[in-house]
Amino acid sequence: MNRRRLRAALMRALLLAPGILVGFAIATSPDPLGCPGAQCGWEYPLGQRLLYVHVPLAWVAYAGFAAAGIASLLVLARNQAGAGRSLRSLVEVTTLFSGTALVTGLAWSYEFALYDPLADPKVVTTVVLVAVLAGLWALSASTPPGASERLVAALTLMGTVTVPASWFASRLASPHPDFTRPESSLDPVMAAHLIVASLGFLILFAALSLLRNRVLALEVDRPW
Amino acid sequence: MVTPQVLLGVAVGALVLAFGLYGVYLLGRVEAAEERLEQGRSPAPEDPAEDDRETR
Repeated sequence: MNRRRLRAALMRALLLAPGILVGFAIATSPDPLGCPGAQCGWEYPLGQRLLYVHVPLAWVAYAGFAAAGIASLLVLARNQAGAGRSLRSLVEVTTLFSGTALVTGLAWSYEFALYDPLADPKVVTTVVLVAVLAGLWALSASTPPGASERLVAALTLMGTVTVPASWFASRLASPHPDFTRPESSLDPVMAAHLIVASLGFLILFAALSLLRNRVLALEVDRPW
Repeated sequence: MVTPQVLLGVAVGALVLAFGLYGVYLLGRVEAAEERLEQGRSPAPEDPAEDDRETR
């Protein structure tokens, strides 16, 4: 087996692993104990399992944005094509993950009639984070090819401030559940399932970023 | 019974599946580009000038 086929087999395994890990976490998770309102029935545990998609997606999206910030520093400091490719692939996959995290979070909040997402600073800061990513694509599309890379890198670096803003919003004044608050706790079984699902989404993020990076390296001269 | 929660579950499942399919699509693109490269052609998917030279 030559190196190319070996690499393709490894990438296939990397793409398959997240499905197994996330599927396992969702299928084996215990039903939640509490019942917040009148909608409780067998649908409530189903809705609760969105957590094993929403929380890992959000965590990995934060990490992806931070990694894009590092890549943008490299673009600004060294201006190498490799750094530009990394920045583009990381921003692409982070946009997908953060947008999906926002949508799944809003879908999860559907279960709770008392929770108003638009009044939650966590949701507002996350909308700003996604808007910054959308702004990166708008900037890239509206500047001449070759000139947009450093502009996008500068805006990405500035945009990384939305990561701690969104992350800490739920620890301060927000009704958003956050088990890292001093008064909160997380059931060890649920924590284990969250870790397994997060590992799955982290592998998926890495696989998609690597593949996108390779496509850019093979097919285009300048990634932006 | 099809409830909004069930529809949400199906929609989110489809969304996650779409991520996997996007990965499969990218993998196919990488493999095709590397194969073209091995054959001594341009790895980019469309190179009309090169196709034109080959035809002649």
